[in-house]
Amino acid sequence: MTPVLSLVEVTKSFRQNGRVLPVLNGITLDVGEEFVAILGPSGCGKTTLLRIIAGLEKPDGGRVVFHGGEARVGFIFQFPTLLPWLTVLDNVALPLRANGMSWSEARERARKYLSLVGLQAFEDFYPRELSGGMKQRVNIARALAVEPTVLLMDEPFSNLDPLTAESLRSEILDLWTLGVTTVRAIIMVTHSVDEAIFMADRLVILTPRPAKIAGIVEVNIPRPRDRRSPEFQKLEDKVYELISA
Amino acid sequence: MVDAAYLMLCAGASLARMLAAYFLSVVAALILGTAMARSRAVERALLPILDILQSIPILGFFPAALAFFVRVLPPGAGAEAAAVFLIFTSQVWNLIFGVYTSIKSLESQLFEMAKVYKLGRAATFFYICAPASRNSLVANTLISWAGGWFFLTSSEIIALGAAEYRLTGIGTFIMESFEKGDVESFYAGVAALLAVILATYVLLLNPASEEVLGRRLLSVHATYAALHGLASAAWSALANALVSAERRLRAPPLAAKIAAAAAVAALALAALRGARWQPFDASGLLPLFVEVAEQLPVSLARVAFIVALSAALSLAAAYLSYTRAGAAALVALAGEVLASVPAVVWWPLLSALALGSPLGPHLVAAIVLLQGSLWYLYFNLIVYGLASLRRELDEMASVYRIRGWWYVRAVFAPSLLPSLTAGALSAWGGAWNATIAAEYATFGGRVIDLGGVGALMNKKAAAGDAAGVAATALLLSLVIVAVNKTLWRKLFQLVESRYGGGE
Repeated sequence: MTPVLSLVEVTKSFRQNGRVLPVLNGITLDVGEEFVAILGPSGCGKTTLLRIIAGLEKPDGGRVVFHGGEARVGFIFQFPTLLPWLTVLDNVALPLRANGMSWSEARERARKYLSLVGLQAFEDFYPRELSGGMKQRVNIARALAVEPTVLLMDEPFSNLDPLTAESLRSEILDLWTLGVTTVRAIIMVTHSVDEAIFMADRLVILTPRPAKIAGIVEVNIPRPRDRRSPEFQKLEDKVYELISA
Repeated sequence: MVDAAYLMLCAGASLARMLAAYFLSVVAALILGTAMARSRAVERALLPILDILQSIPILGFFPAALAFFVRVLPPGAGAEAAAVFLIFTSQVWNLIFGVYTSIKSLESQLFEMAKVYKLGRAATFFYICAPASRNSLVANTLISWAGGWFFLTSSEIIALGAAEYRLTGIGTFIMESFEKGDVESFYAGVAALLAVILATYVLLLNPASEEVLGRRLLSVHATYAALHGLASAAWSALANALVSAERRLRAPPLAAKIAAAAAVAALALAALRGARWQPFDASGLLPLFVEVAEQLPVSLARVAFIVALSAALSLAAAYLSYTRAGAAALVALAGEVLASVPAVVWWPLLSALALGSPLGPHLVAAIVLLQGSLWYLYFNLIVYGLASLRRELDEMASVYRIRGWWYVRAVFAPSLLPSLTAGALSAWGGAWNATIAAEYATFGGRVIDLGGVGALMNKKAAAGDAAGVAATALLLSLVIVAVNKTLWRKLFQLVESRYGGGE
């Protein structure tokens, strides 16, 4: 496995009312060209770990190493996080513009990724004119448009209705398996065991706070996966055991 | 005979002064408001300072500011700069707070997005902070613009002891016409002033608030559309240039840091040069203290009465514009124009009333005070208060037939209470500021002195005692801030806990 990024002994604690609250207790993990899901009880620090990888927070100890040059990261936020005063197109183009492209180049590239998520007809719309699912697609297009090597997803489907969530899951999997993007690794934080097994190649299960890695589970089921198949069910039981242990 | 060309020149000069001050206010508001919202350290340093600055009688520091500017700059330019500065101080505070609260209330996720995608400071400012502030800038401009006109004329004729500065402008035109007994020119001047004020609202501000805030106001859109096109082209060119430059430079270059440091040093040097006062006589402090303490109750009674009256009047106006949709646009326009009538114009305009009876001067003083305070309440209720009325409560009232007085008592007034108290706080500051124009007036060779702290400051200014005026204003500021921190804070907490927020 050629590692895309490595976490080395990452620790983090927060200060709350004068007390030190350890959150991450030495996380070491190599991520190759794969889809990794991070699972754990709520409040265990999964999102903190993702934020550290994204550079939104600094770890107290340890390192995040991106192999093979520049760390280009796309981040699919839990909420769409779109700017209400920019059109769909400009929301996707803004990170590119802010990092050196001209508006016309940036918009050209943004168009390409909007059509990848099926929103080419909506580029002149404003976020308030879109449904929740469409807004989340813009969020995805924006993350892909920076042409990242690592794609981070923070519970990306948790605020959508079940039908929309399911179709977006399949779309992300299609983009991933077809290899039409620049993404070499996906790291997704989720609290749904079902979603993790359905999508990921490998599950990293964290313990309650302060989080350590409780176990790593390989998902060797060919895609598209059937949730009712015996091996899916068996894996699900195994993961639940690890979580509640 | 009215000299029409000269009148036009005067009106143009005043308008230019207003626009210059407003431009500076918006720039300052965007920069300071953003800095406060984005940096904890800046917020901690500036918030209490601005809180005090916006609630003290700025007019009292004007002679000192004038003396400062005249000393730093050549006299003509100094008086001009002092005038623009005075107008600036009457416009800027609510704009700063508007920008600050708009950015503060954005979801923090937007800034995380900016960080993940490496948006620099310029990109974050132009694409997140500035657009987020747009609505509140427009809403606050309606108030600031009126506040600016109110003090405009006070800033055009400035006497500091023996020295008197007269700037070319509509305020000077009106006062001079009155002094010469040229009734025709006097009324032409007042009419021109009102026309200019009306035009700025109908052609610029009302269309802007219609388009941005979606409020129906009397407006003509063509001029605004043209100007808006120009302004947004300039704005996006600026955004593009700075975002590109930032990308190329990445780290703030040393040259820029040095330039900034040099600018700060130059400003500090200029300030030092200007601040060489006549040595201040500390022994004069105790008599001054006694003087202020004597005059304070007089002004306090006036101010308290006026704030209460303002609250009642603006509640009535808000109710009228809420229940009669047709009246709304007219009520708003009447408010905008009346709010803008400069303080010093009232005295000559109502001279018959002022000189007619012993009660006359007090009536005119009340009008000027009302002028300085009512509009803060009025605009707060119209812009923010009416927007906070909840439709469900209205529907509930209509289902259960709660109407008329009971509707006002049980639904309308309580819903408006948070914005009423916010407006009343500003109105209270505004009324104190207006005491300087209300309690003392000279026009047509007559002096009207109604006593109070405002009159005291006027008399000191007339004697050329800039330091005395500033010291009086400082004492008064201390009293006002003390009241704000005790009485007003209590009131805010009470109202917020009982009437604020949701259910």
